[in-house]
Amino acid sequence: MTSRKLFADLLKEQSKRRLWPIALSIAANFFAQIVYTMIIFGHYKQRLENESTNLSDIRINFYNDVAGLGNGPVIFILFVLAFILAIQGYSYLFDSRQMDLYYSLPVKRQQLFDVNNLCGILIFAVPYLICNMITVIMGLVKGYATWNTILLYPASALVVVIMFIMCYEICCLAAVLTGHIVVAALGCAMFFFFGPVSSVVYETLKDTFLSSYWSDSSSIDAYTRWTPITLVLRTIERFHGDSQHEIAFYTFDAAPGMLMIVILAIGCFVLSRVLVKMRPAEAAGKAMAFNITKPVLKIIVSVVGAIGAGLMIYFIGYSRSFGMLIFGMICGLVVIHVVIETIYEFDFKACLKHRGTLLGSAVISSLIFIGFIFDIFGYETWQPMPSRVESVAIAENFTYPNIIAPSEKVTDGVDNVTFYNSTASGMEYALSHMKLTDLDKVEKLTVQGAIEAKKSHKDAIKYRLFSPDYIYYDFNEYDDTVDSPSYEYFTVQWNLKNGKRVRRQYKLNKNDQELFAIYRDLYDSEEYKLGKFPVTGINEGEIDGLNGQSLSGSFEQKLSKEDMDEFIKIYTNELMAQSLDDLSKQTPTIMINGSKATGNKLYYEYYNKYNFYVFPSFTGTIAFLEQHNIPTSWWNGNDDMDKVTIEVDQWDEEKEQNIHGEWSSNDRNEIQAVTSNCIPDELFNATGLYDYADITQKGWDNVYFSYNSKTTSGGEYVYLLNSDNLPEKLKAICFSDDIEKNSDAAITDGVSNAGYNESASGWIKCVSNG
Amino acid sequence: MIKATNLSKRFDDIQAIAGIDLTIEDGQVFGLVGTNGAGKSTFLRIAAGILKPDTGNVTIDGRPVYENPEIKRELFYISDDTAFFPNTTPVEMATFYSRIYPGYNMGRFDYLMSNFGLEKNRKIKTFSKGMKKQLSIILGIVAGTRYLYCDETFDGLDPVMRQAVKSLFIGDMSSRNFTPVIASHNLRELEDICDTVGLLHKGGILLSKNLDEAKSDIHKLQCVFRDEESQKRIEDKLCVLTKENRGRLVTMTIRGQEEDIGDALRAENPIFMEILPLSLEEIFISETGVEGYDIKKIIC
Repeated sequence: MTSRKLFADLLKEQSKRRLWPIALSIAANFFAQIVYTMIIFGHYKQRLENESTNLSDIRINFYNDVAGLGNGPVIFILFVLAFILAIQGYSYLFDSRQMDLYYSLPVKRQQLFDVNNLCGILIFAVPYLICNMITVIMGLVKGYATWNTILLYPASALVVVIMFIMCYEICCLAAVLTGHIVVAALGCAMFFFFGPVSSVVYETLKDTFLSSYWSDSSSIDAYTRWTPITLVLRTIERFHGDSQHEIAFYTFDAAPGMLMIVILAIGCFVLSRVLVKMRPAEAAGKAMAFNITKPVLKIIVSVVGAIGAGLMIYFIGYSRSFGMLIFGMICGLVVIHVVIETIYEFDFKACLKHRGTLLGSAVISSLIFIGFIFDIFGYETWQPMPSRVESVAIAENFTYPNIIAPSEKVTDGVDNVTFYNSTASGMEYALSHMKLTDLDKVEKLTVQGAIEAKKSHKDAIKYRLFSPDYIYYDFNEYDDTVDSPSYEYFTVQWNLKNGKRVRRQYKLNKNDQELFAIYRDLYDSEEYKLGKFPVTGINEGEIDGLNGQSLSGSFEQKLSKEDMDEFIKIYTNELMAQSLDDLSKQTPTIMINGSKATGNKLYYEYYNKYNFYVFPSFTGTIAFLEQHNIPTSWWNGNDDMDKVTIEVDQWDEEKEQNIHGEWSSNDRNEIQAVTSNCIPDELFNATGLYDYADITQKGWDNVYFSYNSKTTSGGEYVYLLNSDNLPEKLKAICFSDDIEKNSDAAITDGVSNAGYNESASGWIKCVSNG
Repeated sequence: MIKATNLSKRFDDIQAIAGIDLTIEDGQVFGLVGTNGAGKSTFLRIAAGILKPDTGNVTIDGRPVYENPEIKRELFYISDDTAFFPNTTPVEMATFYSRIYPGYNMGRFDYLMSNFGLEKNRKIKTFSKGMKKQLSIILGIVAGTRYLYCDETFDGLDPVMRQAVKSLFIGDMSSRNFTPVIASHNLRELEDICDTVGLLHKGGILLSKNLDEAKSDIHKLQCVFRDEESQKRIEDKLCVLTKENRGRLVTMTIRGQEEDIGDALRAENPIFMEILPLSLEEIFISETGVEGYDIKKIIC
């Protein structure tokens, strides 16, 4: 009997043994593709009838989310079926009777493995491809798929099958390594979720003990590393490209991910195939097929678990002391040891066996903790050699903290609308776009930053060791005493010549005149601003309208391409010319968004991609806006107001009670005086060169501003400028000397105070505009 | 010819078999007997290529069995705990085997299923334990292999079926090159059918002989000696395995040829003497008793 014929015969027979997985795969693919498509088609029809979308968007959505790579239900069943088919296919490895049956056959073990392996792949792939083909045909019939993009569908289907194979081979490896179905399931869970768990523990360790470690919104990427799930999802994103508003199949962008997927699939297959030959038949029914894997696995899980448990108890505990950390670590070690040994032996009485590995895990966990607590590897002070650095990026939030940039484009799955998710992208924008080459200046900042980081680290150890009653040591602790340094944080990213990036977060003492002067020089440089301000990188036609909010309500203005180009040019020039000193002396009068129309009549008519803060010194910008009837200040529209009310609340520490004050006026002059001296939060915070903690820690409230006009009414919390133009009664309420005396407001000097004058404020934060 | 050389296998802390050397000639029924935990099943599983021995190997005609499909086509293994594919029928099992074993005889399968009164299209999971045993024997016999390994296969068969199976074996042995290797505790059953026995104890082989030869080599002697000196001289002269005195009547199990034993006894001129053949069960008890597996120790 030829080997090929035997293989075909075995495959045929094997498929007869696996009827229920075949039925499951057919049903799952039928629902995930054909039924799902029919449901989506109903939505499409409704949207087209409502004119809430157009055929072009429908075609994009059909490709991206239904028949292409991004079909959510298919991705779900891909993982689930990979697990079920692998475990079911190799279930004979878990049963000694089945092992006797299979291994007594005149067939090589590896051939049996191959047959099972291929059978599992086909059980998924055949129904998937058939259902996918039917889905595409349905799309063609309805006009949601077009012939000119037809080849992308089989290409996408092939990618899905390859992704399935990777997940399937990983599960097969788990099956071969174990001898019991439950342990095999745990093995699969380990392969899929241990990476992210380890990553979370690792990131938490760094975040907890290293003062110069910087985590941001992109931490989610770090937390989802080292798992095939993320690899699949990210590769699909790469295939779709940077944007989801086109039918795209970016092979080049997705190539690294696909390469990793293929390597993983082949690697797991080859490894499983080798192991299945070595695997003893008597392993069936045992927890682990290979004894050598037992201590290795146990130590890995124990170390990560012990560190995780230590951190958990540390954070739960009130004192956040090292004692709690050690207690948590010991608890974690013992629990994991007991659980693993019980699983290994299937006997609770064996839970205290192999105490050597317990000891080993304890030593490794302790060494890791010690390494981080005492910074043995010099994380706080290490910086790359300048010769290895190509450029540096600095990101900070104390200037323009609310700046936005278009980042991730997302599609609303329900309404099929694409828009930008541009939240919190200012820091990331700076880190990804800034290319500072004046390394000497940066080095002066970073060296001092490293010194401060090391000092913070030592202080933290001291607190944790010797102050058990101390709640916790916060690296971001504020110190509001007059003579103390005033710190701001900045993140530095070294872009190395070898393509790697190193990030650290350091403190900058704003009261250190020499150091701050270096930062001022950096800020005023063109390189810095080009990297910091997203508006400097706007492409032609990227936005086509301006919108915003003033007292007269929201406004939106479409601009021609020429006008928009002119606006961007004027604004960019003035922004580039604005020095840090200029910035610190002003507050913006209005914030305007740059938007792009979606063409969607019902939903998301436009979406904001950029924002423009307008300062009094931006005369060219103001002139342009006035020319196009766009408000230039937040208080635009105060002419129409009939009544304005100011409410203030202050906590009187001596009387331990809240003092409520209220002022209102119908007088037009007074209304104008008040509104022109009010600044809403978003504008007051726009420049960020103030000590915000000082406001919040002292329990001061902003004033609540409300107004009525003939057509509208509204209100919001604002900051009130202490101006001579203010009505005397209002000044008496907000800026009375008595209250000033009662207040423990500190007068701070230097740059931190440059944006406002706190001396006149009793309980109202007052600002001076220039 | 199946040949095991220096075969050892350990399961964690348990030494299942240790240093077994055994030869099974073709064309005979080989019985594998042994105490509980002696390693019979382990030996068969190694001989079937299921387990990999720690040391030594098993060969058929000089070629190793383990991971050798060509050689494994020469044997069929029937497990003690019969296993079939889940949710399958006899005919499906037979079809599966027919794709793997070149000599598989589907016609004979139908014939035997009919003769044994088994429904070939009924789900195997609905069969009784005995029916599953019958089925596994039928599947094994029609595979047409040279060797059929039966691990406790006769257990669970009723006496009629046992006879039927024995007849099948004898029929196949006379018509083709067929060697059943049967591991069993039921020594009386083996005695009827086996040509050669291998006796396993504590992982080692105590004896491996033709059954007639084994029987001719060990005898039970009942004797009344004239005096104690006479008895002592016999004990010194012959290889006495066991001895029991009831009054003056001495019962001995003696290894040796009947003629030699008779000559030695006649030289002592005993008052009474009788040399009796041993059953396989008695041989088993005697041989294992020598190795410390004494029934008296167990009872006491």
